[in-house]
Amino acid sequence: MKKNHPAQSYSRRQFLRMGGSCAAMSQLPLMSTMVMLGATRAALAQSPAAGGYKALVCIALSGGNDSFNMLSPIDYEARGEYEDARTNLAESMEGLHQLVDARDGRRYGLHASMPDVAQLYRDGALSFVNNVGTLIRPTTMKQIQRGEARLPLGLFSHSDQQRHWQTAVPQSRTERTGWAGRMADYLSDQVNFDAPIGMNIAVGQLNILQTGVGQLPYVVDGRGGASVLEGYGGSHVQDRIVTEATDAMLEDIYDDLLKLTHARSRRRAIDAARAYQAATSGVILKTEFPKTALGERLRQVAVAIAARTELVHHRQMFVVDQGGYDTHDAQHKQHPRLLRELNDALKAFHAALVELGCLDQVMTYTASDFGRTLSSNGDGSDHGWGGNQIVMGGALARCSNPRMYGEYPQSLAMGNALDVGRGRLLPTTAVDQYMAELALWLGVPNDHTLVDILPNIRNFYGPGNLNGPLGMLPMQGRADNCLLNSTLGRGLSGL
Amino acid sequence: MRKILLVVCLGLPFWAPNVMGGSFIVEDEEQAQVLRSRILATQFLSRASFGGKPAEIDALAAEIRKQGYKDALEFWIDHQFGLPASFHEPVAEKMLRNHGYDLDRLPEYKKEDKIWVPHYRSSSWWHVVLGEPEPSLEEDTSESQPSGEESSESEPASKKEAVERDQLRQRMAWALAQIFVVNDAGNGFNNPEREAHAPNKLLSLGVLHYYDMLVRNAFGNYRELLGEVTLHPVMGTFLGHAYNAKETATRQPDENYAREVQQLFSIGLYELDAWGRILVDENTGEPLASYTNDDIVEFARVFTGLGFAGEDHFGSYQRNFHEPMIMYERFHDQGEKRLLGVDLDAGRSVLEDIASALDILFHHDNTAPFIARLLIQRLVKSNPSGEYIYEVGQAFADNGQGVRGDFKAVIKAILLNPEALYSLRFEDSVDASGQRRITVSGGGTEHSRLMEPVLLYSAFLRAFKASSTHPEGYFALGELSHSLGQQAHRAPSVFNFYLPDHQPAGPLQDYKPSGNLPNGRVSAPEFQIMTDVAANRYINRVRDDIRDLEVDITFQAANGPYSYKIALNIDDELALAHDPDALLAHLDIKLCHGTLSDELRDTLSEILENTAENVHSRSRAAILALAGAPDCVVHE
Repeated sequence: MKKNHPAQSYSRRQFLRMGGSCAAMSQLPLMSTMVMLGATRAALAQSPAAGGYKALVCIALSGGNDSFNMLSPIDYEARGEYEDARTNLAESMEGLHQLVDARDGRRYGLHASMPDVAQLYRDGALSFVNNVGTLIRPTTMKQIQRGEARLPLGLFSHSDQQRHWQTAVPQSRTERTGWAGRMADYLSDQVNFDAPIGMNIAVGQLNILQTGVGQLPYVVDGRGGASVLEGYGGSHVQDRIVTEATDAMLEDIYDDLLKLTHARSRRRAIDAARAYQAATSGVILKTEFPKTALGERLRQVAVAIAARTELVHHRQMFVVDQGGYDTHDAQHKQHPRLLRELNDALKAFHAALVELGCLDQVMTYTASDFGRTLSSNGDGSDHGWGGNQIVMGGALARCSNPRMYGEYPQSLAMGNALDVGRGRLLPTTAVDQYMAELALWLGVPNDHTLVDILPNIRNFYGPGNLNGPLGMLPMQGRADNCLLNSTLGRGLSGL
Repeated sequence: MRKILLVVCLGLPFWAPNVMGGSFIVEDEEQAQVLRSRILATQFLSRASFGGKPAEIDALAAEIRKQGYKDALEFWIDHQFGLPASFHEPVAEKMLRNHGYDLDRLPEYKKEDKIWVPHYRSSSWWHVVLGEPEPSLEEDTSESQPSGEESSESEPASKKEAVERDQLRQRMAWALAQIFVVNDAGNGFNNPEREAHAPNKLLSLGVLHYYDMLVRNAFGNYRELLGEVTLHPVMGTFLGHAYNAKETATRQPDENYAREVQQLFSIGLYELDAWGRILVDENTGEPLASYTNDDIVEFARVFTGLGFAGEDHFGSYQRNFHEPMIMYERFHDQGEKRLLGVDLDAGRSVLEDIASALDILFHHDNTAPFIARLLIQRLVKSNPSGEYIYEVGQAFADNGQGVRGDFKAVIKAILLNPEALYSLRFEDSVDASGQRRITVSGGGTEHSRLMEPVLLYSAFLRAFKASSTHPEGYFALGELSHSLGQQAHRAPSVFNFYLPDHQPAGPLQDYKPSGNLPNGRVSAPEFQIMTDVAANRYINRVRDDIRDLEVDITFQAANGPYSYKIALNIDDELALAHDPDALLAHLDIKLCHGTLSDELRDTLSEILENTAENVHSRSRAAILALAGAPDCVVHE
């Protein structure tokens, strides 16, 4: 097979240029893709991480999105229960965008501020994972009522729940790495060898999620991307002195580990910014993004995706943040504005992925501290537990009509079967299941590797299973004809 | 010359070869004392102020030589306790007036008027924490004064005042602002970015009144501060207990303040002993939580019935940010409550319930070690030993006169603790050529901290005698989040800029700390905001400042554009620049507390010698290089 294919004579650089083009890659038969990857590294052909470029984009909705207002039931009885529970927080039916779950025909109202998200759902390019939250193991109301449940530490607390979503170890407050960091520890050896910066890129701020044993997210700014150290390497006499002095002082010469950490951080910041800027400087993106913080951040992600070839990235993982969801007060004013910003940014990001021809290779998903109490505190809602999340990407819709994932609660009445108090809902899908679906899709094998990345996953999902825990995404190694058939032309229908 | 001496020196038996330190050649005992006192004064002022100006360092160093080290510091602290407080809101208001805005009409200003409120909030903060600019008549004070006291008596009052700003109070207020955190994103706080869709009415400067409350209480009592924090309308807005009503059939009390007042402002997540050690369940080995969700629900019932002062009804939202919130008894839950195992009777008023709830937190065993550790982290070091936490906690528990929560006692216990006082080692030796040599070194990983960007930058400006060309002497630096990754009033959330337990990836994760530290791990919170972007941008900012020796400020105000400069003075450095060794020794003391290693100093000296003849290039390059040197950014 190999000798019949011209790929073996490609230089690595040539291959990467080709492989980096999402559109070009997606039109090649799967086998050729495998062979071409084999040309770059023998081990890679057997690697579960093979299969061209892929990326995950996490949008952290910080503060706890009131996601039962983002997506509310509109079937008659369920609506009445929703309105009774939410009292003055209930969204009016007027303006809601009706979405139907193809699984059971249940109808939902998407928030009035999210018309484009609604359209993307109807197009099959976006969906929802419902009532997902932190769990250690499958947990029932009975266990909770009897005090027999083993529950995540610090339920309903921002700092704890944000941490648990990121570490996927909710039984610990001291875990230092995040699941995407551990995933990058594994995947970087497989696919991103020789990359000047790691596969994990954060726009805005550092996070635990992307921190691994050997990985730290590369942090860029929403507005400026990377900031290079001015004058470094310059020819002016002052710049020459500072460059030489800086190089000398950033060597590993410190006993004090804070100084050593500082020296290494600065060294990395200098080198990575140069590499990042060189890689992204030629990127031209026609898609207009909204001039919001989230819009700017997602634009930065699109730029880094466009520069994947130059960055030598076969896998990328991004985290961007949209703050302000902790709507204890003025929820009626704040929440629609936040969802509108999210809608506009998602719409632009989707359009940019179409422009780049990468729609099928990028999965975007939301994470949030927790859902919120269904009950009102007068002007807003308080910290809850399970909530609904958005997933977006061309890989979603290969074989199905628009549908949702996870289980939307049958009833949102106060005191319903999942209500642990004040309308805080016991999650029916664990964060681990949600994240495992994404990790498997990105190329993590369902063996001990997945357990290294998501230590509690075996409480929810068995080894060797070829379908993902949510049945949401097409998986490597699984015979899936619709995967190949639907690849062609996806870029167009995605519009 | 230094290099040769160093090699000889390394051979001496009493010179520990693994110590990374910088050495200074001194000719006699007086020079040795001057060196030691200047380094200690510089180090102390990096903790107790926003960085020492050369004149302040010289004055304190002279006092150290005169009175002895600890007595001089205590004298300085006592003196600071007596200085009048500087407040931020009046400065911002004055800036607004000077820019042509009518303060009485502030609520009427509209978006079109383009009052960029964050500029005034940030500028007033920088102005106050940096102190007044040095008067232009002041002579270069780089030479150490033989006796600070004699010379100051004959000087005009204005000069004395210029040096004696309430730096310690401001520094403590900044520490408190990072514990009792609010930011500028509350409703009505006038954050044009975050209230993009709200009518941009300028109701007030918002968070500045809250900040001034912290300034006022910085030398007061923790319990009174906690009370004022709880009743402050800015906190009530930020964490949502303003217009928090008791439970009805359709609504339940807001739990936000109930949670954070426990988790962040008083007792923390876990049961602690007096040494700050987390207590664990004997059976499971799990840490013991200091409160449960039931406690939060109960505390939430306490914080019901508070609303803004001067309004005609509960929930009218006129937002008076300048007076404490008042009781609206009808909306208070007067039922019995059980708070952390203590029962409160039914039928009590809002303020009675709140007083009891805050007393419970105040007297909780956790509060002393919890608050002690946070304040030590802000003022002195990232990883205080259990003993240090214990001693500061004891001062919190009793100031010596039976008073609990006295911040003056806490501040003294923090700044005058042996662990703070003796964190630098001074080794005296005579090298082979007979020259006396003082080697300065720090204690390493468990004894240092990365300086916060705003403190690093304020210390930089003060070290180079920043002065403003504005007619009123304003330091209207505005928003520096972009350059520093940190800015007063702009913490991303109530969790501050960084978490006290943040541990950066890398070598610290594998470090096994000594038994002196309470919980078997080291943290370095400030690394949480030292991102790849921030690391370069800070240096870029300093580079711009040093290149032109001035910071340009231009601002579009109601009465036209403003343009002025904040000038830096590097005359001291220029005078020494012909001798790279001397220049570096001088900058080492000034910026790095004398801890720049000999190896690095020699390398830098060689680079300066070989690359630049010009004293301007040498001085500026040396300053810029050291502004980002690990030895000068991570302090002991």
